[in-house]
Amino acid sequence: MGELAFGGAAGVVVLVAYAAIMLLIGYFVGRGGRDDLKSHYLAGGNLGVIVLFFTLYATQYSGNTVIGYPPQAYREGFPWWQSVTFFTLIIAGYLLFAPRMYVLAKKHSFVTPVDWLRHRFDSRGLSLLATFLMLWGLANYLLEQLIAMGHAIAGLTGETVPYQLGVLAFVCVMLVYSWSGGMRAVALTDVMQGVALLIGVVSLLVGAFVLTGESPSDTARYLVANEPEVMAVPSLRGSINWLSMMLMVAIGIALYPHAIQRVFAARSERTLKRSLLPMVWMPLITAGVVWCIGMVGIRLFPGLSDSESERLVGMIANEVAGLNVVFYVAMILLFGGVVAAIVSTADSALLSLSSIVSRDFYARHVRPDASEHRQLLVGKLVGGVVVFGLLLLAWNPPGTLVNIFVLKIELLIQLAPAFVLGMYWLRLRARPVCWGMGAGAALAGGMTLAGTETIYGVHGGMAGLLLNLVICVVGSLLPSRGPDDVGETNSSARVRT
Amino acid sequence: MDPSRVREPVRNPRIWVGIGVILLAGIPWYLPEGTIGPTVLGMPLWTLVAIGSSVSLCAYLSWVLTHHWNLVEDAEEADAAEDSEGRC
Repeated sequence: MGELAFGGAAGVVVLVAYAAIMLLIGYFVGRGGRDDLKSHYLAGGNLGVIVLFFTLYATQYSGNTVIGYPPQAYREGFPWWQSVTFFTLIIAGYLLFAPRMYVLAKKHSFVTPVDWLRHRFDSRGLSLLATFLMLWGLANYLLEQLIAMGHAIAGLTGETVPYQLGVLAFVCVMLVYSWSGGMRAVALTDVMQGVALLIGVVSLLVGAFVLTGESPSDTARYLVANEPEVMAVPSLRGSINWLSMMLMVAIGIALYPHAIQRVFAARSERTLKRSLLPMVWMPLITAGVVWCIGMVGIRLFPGLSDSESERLVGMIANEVAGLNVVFYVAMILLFGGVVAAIVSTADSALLSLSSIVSRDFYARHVRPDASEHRQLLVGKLVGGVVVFGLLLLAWNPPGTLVNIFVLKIELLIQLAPAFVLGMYWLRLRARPVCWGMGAGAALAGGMTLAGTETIYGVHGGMAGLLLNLVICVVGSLLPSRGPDDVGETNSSARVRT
Repeated sequence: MDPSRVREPVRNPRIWVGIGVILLAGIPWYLPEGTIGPTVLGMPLWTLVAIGSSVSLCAYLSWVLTHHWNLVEDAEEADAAEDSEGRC
């Protein structure tokens, strides 16, 4: 992001204020809270419309959306508009499974997504593989957020707060409020973080247009005349890649474990629907706005190299902050909001990771007789250890195999047959699902490790999902050979109304 | 609950065909590479079609959420109403 000329002492004050608000929320929510898994990890399954909306919003959009997407638009041009559509399409991803999953979760008191797999397939192997993929995806997601958090804090404070110290301080704040208040504190801090981010990105876009001194139409005319390649139709391969990206993100993000847990946490079906309704439109005023900032960036700073373009948001913000005192304050709030948005995304992933460790690993395979209090304690401690382990990894990245630390959606999308097909097709059996999930993950992971991102525009994750689906369907249609392959026997996936 | 009021998006294939059509309309696979074409308000027409597709998808999914998802809502709301009457 580079050093921000408007940061420094004012940035430190904003960050301290954000941290203090988060801690206060954690303190008040944590007072007198119940010490059971559902209260801690799902806010007792009682989240209302506004809080659920903001926590879904914070789960979907992170600081990376604001810092990383404008440079992407700068480099790719108009085709990066696909980011707006894929964020909208995530709601269609939810519609594939959430309506029935919500009913089943309430009926059977699911806490983690693996509860569904156990309920439907009753297969130890499948549950373990899915647990591993979810933990891997969540840990990588968390690692990405920690790295982004460090850069944002160092940039905003003008290196007044060193990278490591800034991240350490915010990680401690995050651990304190999520340990004390659980999902309720995480969701309430998401409200504050979401509002700050929204105000910030809109201010940045307005400021960017003030800088150009022209209308959006004039900017578009400039781009067509001077940078035609960014407004031109991509190749057929580019169009296939566009479609593949939209489908992969839509299904993959809807299947993030913390996203599924928000479906479990809804107070009622009406609450869930009413929270998803504004989420449908948010891509236009979040991803759409940051896409616009990237395109205006081409007008303001033409000719940047790929690495220089990574600092685009900082460069525009510096110029905007110099316009007047209102924009100066808005830019400080924006970057404080970016840090807060990164923290809000990280805390959701951390809480989900802790819940899976405590319920699906510790209570199932290590101490089946452990009390809920002990499970919670183990989840919190392991979550803390994982975060600090990831911090070490972020500060000392490995020289080789670094690509495995970017695998997230590619792996999580392999859960789709078990969650979507498994919910409606009762013939789907555990063993083919397990093999399909493993094969799909291996193909997607292998392609990433080999540096082959796509096959004629189709992402490794989608290629893996196709293989996964074929194995699931063909394997389930073949005659069953073992008594342990019980997936089809559990007919309770049906919703009786 | 009246079975005719039960709605689940996944049970209605037409919903998914609609989403597919909107998505495919937004991707310029039907134009040769490098085309910029006619412009409207400074924007190439194909980019306006892509933006229109995104906005249509938002509207379409809002309609699906509002009109094609009702599994337990009526029962839950009736229970909630009973609870609140009981407390009064």
